[in-house]
Amino acid sequence: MTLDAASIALQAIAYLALLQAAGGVMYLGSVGAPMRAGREAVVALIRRAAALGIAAALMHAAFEAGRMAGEFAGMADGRLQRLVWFGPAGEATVVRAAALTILAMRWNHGAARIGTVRTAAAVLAVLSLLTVGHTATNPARGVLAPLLALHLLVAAWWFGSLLPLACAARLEMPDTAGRCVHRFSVVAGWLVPCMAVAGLALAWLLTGGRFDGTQPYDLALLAKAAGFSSALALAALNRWRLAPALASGRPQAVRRFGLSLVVETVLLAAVVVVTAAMTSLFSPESA
Amino acid sequence: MKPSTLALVLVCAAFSASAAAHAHLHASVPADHATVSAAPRQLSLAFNESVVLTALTIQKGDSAPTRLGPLADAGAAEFKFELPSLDDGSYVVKWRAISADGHIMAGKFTFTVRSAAP
Repeated sequence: MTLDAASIALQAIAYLALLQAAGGVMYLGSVGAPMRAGREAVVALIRRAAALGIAAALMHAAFEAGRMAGEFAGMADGRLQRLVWFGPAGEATVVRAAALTILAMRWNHGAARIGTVRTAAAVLAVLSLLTVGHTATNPARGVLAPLLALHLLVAAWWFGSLLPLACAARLEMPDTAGRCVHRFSVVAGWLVPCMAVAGLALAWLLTGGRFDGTQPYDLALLAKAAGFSSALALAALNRWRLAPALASGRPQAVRRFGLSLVVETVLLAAVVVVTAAMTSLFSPESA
Repeated sequence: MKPSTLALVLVCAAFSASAAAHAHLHASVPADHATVSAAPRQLSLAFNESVVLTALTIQKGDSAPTRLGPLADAGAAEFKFELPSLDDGSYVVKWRAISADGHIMAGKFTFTVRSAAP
């Protein structure tokens, strides 16, 4: 495995684990609040994801020194490690790891409330991504940062809710599961358009929309859009067909709904993997 | 989800990621693909924004690459490095750098030294 491939793989794992852990907390604090029987499984998922997110983020940061040198030997270079850990990426990693540590620690899954500290940790873990990337150095950061924050938080909430919803379908009574799914659909109906508006505003402010669909960066964007649109189609299927069947307790509804959520999770995960590769390897300016 | 919302989200996905522009090398001396009649003694690099160089090598053909330096920890947009004595031939200069936003960029360019016949 090449250095770039290893780094991208770690980056993707770190992103996915972060979204799952932080998004899972957001889920329990919002649409998943009615859950009882399946709460322990969701908490376990969050804790494991947080632990994985910490490990992957720390390893990715260490690999960055190798990428800076263009060879694995760079990981043993003190100057490069110093540049990593005292630079924006290192600072973001430390903040993210600290926040995820709070989520990985033992907590009372039976408690009705998630708690201010865990909610703040989940939000902080996601917002740590604001300290890296192009918006971090843009003169219009005061406008761009809130837009990007909204974009990332909704993405975390969406991705991090899918597997917990599958837990709800499998472990809760049909009426409770149906209530969670209904609440999710209602909130998503508001948040997803907000995420879209935030993304459009970011694009407008930063680029003016250069896109010709022929270069590697553009092809990666098309791959992302394809995965994203497929996930949205599944989400629509869940909302209009599978969720009502689940709430009414129809046979096979739990299996079909759970399978659909897993596929939706895989599609969104693929989008995140493409994002990790795209932001590591390609530049829109060179496209 | 309504079709209008779906379309909005797709546009968002397509364009929001293109917002992450990276720094890049916009000029060098010797220039990319240049042929020079005398071996250059100095290498100049100019980026479009401040970067920290993390690796810089020059390589002739299949020979082992030679590291150039020293590389400073401070960021800058323009750099100058002394070159070792260069024979006639084609050279590849490879660089890696981090930009102010934390992105790692890599690039390379080539030039040829072709001295006039004695």
